[in-house]
Amino acid sequence: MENAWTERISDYVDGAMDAAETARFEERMAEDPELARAVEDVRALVSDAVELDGIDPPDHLWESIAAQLPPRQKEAPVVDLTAERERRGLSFKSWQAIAAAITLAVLSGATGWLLRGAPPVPDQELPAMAVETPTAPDDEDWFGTVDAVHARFEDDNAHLAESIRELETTLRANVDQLDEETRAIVEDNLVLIDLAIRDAMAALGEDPESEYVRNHLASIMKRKVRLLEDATRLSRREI
Amino acid sequence: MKHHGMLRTTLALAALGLLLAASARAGRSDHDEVYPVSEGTRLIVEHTIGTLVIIGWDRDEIHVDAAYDDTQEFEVRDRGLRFMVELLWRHGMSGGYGDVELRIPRWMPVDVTGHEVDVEIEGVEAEIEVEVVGGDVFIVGGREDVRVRSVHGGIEVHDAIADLDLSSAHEDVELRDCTGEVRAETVNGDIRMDGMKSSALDIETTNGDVLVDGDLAADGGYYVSTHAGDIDVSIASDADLTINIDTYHGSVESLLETELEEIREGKRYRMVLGDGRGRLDIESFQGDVRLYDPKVGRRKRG
Repeated sequence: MENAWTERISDYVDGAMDAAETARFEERMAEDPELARAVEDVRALVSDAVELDGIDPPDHLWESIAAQLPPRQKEAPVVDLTAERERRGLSFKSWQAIAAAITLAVLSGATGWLLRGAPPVPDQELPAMAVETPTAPDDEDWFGTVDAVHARFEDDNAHLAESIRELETTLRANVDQLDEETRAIVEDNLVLIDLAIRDAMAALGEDPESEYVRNHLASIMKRKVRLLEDATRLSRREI
Repeated sequence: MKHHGMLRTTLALAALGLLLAASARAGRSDHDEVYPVSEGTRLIVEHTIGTLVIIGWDRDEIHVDAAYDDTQEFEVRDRGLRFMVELLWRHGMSGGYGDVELRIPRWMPVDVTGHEVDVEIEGVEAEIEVEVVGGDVFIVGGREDVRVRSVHGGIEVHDAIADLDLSSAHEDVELRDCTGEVRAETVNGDIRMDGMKSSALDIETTNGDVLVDGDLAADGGYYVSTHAGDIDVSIASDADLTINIDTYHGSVESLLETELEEIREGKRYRMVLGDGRGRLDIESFQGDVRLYDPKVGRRKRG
């Protein structure tokens, strides 16, 4: 299965190809059973997502996030998030919100305690995530869908997730060495990055084959790694 | 980022304050001395809190002029190819404030590390590296490589002919009339480039806008990305570029005459200018992207 064709799967499933491209793609599928299976997998995933009832995350989730935003955003006029989400065409389905929340829990365990100023805890006892997890619907398909998204995320970004976990552990052990202003700024920026990761995860749930979204997510995670590296060096007085 | 003028004003006021206070107030020290140096020597400065000004001149000498509180220890060490200037807290002490002004040969490479230090470097025609926790960094000049990292200060570079690697977590990054390859990133700030001549850009912010206004080489490779900001890029009408634009919840507007092709509805766009040799990739997850002709300018947003 050639990469150039796999990159076009979502265009094919979305009907975004013109007639000539569609014909070439279908010819290729006929010759390449692996490509055909991949197309069926994507169709099944999209179908599962569409059939799920849409449940917006609760208001208090957004309030919780808004309360953690740094001054730069707090100074902006208050935005009607529902209207804004409608304007942007953004509507979280429950599994997408949960997938995003799971990611936040995996990637951002440190951010929560940094924000709350809680005492350091051993790695295996990471506190609850900074945002609340929506309640899962009673639907077995849901678990499969979340697993699929999460597995894809883990496959693509496992090394980044591991780096983030290690850096957070190191930073946690030395965070008291940061001065108050620097600590606050590091926290603010980690929150911003985590919000961007949440956005990208939700988008990946909506559009699992989007090469741009996958790359964007990886890019944000790399940015988080660099910020954590800088903060860790600061906390060790290496700058 | 504090403006250059503000930094100058701050420095002038600080200097005036020091002059007035120095004679009347106990606990301040001064250092004023000139040292000869030979070509190939590198300047290494370590500073905790205060200001640092480095100015290039046409002499093979370093003039060190410093005023600092007695909570700090000032030291100058000439180690052959390393000329070191340190203003650090005395053992067991903290606080205090120090101002250091250095005049150095233009050819002299510069390394600066600091904690809360506003740094201004002008007229140095050599490699420059600055790494501070807080404080703004303003550089006019720089050759070969200019690398700046400030966790919570802004960065502004003018007239560098160098490869630039600039990183701030919390403030803006600005470039004016620079030539060279650029890597610039910030989390919560804007990135602005005016009068840029470059064959390679790697520009990334998470929560800020990006402006690229300059001359993009025909065979260059350019990447510009933001998550929650807008992107404006000037494209000359005679450019030879293949432009790819990706967004998720943003919009795309082109003020160029060439038609923008929508590859994937609302998500991916492409434009080929001239022979399309160069490549420009633009990504804004939820901001707006606008291409404009520098001769025509940017229309005001609705």
